Amino acid sequence: MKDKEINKKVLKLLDEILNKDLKSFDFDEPELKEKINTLSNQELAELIQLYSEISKYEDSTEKKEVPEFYLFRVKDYYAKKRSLETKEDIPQLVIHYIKSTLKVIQNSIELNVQEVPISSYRGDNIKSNKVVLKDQKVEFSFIPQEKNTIMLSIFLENLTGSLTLKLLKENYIIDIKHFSNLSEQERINIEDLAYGNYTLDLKGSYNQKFRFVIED
Amino acid sequence: MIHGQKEEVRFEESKKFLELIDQCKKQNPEALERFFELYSIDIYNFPMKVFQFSEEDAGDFFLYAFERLRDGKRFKSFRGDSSFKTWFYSVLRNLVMDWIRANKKSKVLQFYHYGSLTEVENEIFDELKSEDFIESNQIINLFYQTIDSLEEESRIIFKLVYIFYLNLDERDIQILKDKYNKSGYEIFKFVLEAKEYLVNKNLKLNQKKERLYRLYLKLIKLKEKEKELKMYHQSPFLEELQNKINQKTLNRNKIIQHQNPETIVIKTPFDKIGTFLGISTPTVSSIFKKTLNKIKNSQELKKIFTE
Repeated sequence: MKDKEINKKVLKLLDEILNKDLKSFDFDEPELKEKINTLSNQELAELIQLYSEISKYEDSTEKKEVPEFYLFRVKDYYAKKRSLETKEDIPQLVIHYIKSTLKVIQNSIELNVQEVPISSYRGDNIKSNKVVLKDQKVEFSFIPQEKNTIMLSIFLENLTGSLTLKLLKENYIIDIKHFSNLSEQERINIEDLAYGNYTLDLKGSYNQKFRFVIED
Repeated sequence: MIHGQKEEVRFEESKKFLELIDQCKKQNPEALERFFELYSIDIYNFPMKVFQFSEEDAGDFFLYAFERLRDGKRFKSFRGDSSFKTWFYSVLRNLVMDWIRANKKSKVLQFYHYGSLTEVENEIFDELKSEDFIESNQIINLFYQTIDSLEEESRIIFKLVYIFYLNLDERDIQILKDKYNKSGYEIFKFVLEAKEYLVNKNLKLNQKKERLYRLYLKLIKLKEKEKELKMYHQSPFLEELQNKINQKTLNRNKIIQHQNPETIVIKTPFDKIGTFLGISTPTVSSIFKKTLNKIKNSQELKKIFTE
């Protein structure tokens, strides 16, 4: 019995019964009884079987956690799939992160890129730069943080409609944000980005996709 | 019995969720990955809870199901005729059946239904099963063949008694309609009420088994400790320990003594079946016992054991 073979009528009726809060099966619903009575023998056997199984599962408690190994196989599969897809040539920014400051090593993104001095986050006199990429609607700031990590701060101005942001590290999705209704100004902060290869993908009322590499 | 799923249904009917499923249908990898984040726990637990898979088999099944669902093609058969969850469970159920067919290569499908038939198998075959070389599949196949070859009334009564483990097929339903004048709804109602009653009975039995199991474990530990103490001649503790062992052994024996062997197998009470079929309880009891003996004395089955 493959799923294409499961009778629509059975599935619909099963759904109807499952979604009723039945106290005993002596339900006083002539229409439902009639529907069950008009099923063929095969359909009735299917209905009884599926109902018993699904309700048994629904009623069961203490579901076990899926072992990490199996979840990894899922993640790995999609990461590899993405890796094949992202072999396309997309613009890239390489940032050198050393001694609390950022320096642009290479850039092919068509945005205005600047290294902007910032006041020291430690309160001492160490000079530090952040890297800012911007156009008229969006500003991306890469800001040094403690423990050799950076924060990516994205400032959206005058954008309306919806936007989906996806951030991948080594092809694994590490963050997804969806805004169905952007307000006039929106700031998105993604913290604790360590060394590595990232892909940022914005889709919706603003489209931008680039890779950035943080290296030491 | 049913169904604290109202909250979940709300989520699964939400626009956001339906958008996700729509994207899965379009084979969008991100949506599919998200789907697996949400449903991995069901894929893994469904065969364990419904078909009594071991954790190892459930893991194998997880990968099997993942390989068949990961490209999103299967989602196209969800057309909203039912809720997503009902559709998904029926897909999972079919995948479980496919997996069993692919891996066990025999007609032991129903063996998994509502747990192993082990209890029934033992009740019927215990006195016969003496040779190590007999494979379980062989017995199960023959068991089903024997049931199929029974006379109509005997088969129906046998299946209704063991409805916790067995399923009615089209042929059985036809007999219940023709011979016992039952409507589809009446059959549906009886089977599900019986299963609900038996699930509760099984739960109590499992609690008892669990208690007994814990007692056995405790006894093993205490006896190991006793062995150690004897080795070091620490007699003051030894006496105390031996008292504990005696007490636990007494408890264990009490449970075993009160355990009626008849109740190890989950059976539908004969009077319920009698009322449903419109025949007397002694008639049900007598037909069932004759059927059971017939199966036990089946020449085919005996042949296996003497080969």
